[in-house]
Amino acid sequence: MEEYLHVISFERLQDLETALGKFSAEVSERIRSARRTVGANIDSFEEHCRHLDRNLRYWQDLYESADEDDDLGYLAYRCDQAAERLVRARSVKTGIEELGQQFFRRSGSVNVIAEERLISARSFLRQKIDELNTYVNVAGLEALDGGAPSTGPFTAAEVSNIQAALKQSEIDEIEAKKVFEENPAERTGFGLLFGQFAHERVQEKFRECERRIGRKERKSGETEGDFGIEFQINYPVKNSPRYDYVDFALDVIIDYKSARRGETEEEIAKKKRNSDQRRTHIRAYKKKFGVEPVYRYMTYQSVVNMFDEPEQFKGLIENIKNDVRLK
Amino acid sequence: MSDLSNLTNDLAASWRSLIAEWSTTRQSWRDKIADRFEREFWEDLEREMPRLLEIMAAMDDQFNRADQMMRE
Repeated sequence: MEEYLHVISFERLQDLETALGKFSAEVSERIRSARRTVGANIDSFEEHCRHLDRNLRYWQDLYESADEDDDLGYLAYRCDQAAERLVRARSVKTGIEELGQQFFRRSGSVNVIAEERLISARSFLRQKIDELNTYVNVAGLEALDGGAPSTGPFTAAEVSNIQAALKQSEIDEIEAKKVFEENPAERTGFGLLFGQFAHERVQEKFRECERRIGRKERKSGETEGDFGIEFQINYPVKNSPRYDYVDFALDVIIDYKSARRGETEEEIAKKKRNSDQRRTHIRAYKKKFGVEPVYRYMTYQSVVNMFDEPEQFKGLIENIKNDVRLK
Repeated sequence: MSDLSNLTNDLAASWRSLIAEWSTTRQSWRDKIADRFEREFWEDLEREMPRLLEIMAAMDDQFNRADQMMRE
């Protein structure tokens, strides 16, 4: 992929593609009808002009073959009248022919556009829609298109496994939740480690996805490459911004943030709308690349309520514990 | 003489409808690909269609005049 689509609604592109198809069919059909109509009308008027020409010659013949008994004044009047009608008709015929030439030329061009170029245009759009679909699916960026909140670097199954493992640790009486409540520093330390782990996971995933579609990573300080991970920009603020993920072709920045269970990426985005970090990230990018970037969030589980029992586990732990006790 | 005005009106309606689609799409599609699409596929159409409709309207006027003359 040499160029990338800004993330816009798939439906919009599909609607445009459909509209182009409809327009193409309508225009081809209507131009065909119009060409037939114009051709028939021109023929019809040419026939009328020939009729007027014959009419003039008829009166001229009568005038020229008239003798002293004929009404020469009347014949001369009919000749003048026929000649005048023919002149007017020829003038209109000239106008029609000139417009006709323009019409056939222009309608030919539009027809080529409708029947050939718009087919290419639709094929171009379909290809871009496919690429965008592939890109979004591969990179797991559903949230960029307003989709459902993602589970971050983990699949839903992995999330369940992690949660189950954490719950298992309760059975082993580690009672992490209690430990963390009593020792907040422990939780902070664990949170930092877990955040680092989550970042590394998502970075691996991004790199894998980007490699699959042939995109090149740009390291901090470099000027070539399609995307950056942990990419840092030198910017005259206290701390130079470092982006978790940045797409230079799309001008999209993705910040990876922890979120409490149940918290959606939209809620995170709302919460962080006016954060200093977000503002600095956007300002620095705009200054460096001259483009206002799209700024989005992806989330991973925060340790704050990591051990709270989620809805789907309600009662499950107790059941497992009972099972263990019975054994 | 057949009437060209209905065909012109129908064609103009198709064109207006496509312009509306394109305009809506363009508002939310602003990148190099949109520029390329506009350059390669849209600009020619945008130039040719109004001219064609203009010529068809002028032809319709001329045909009406011709029709009146044929009835005289």
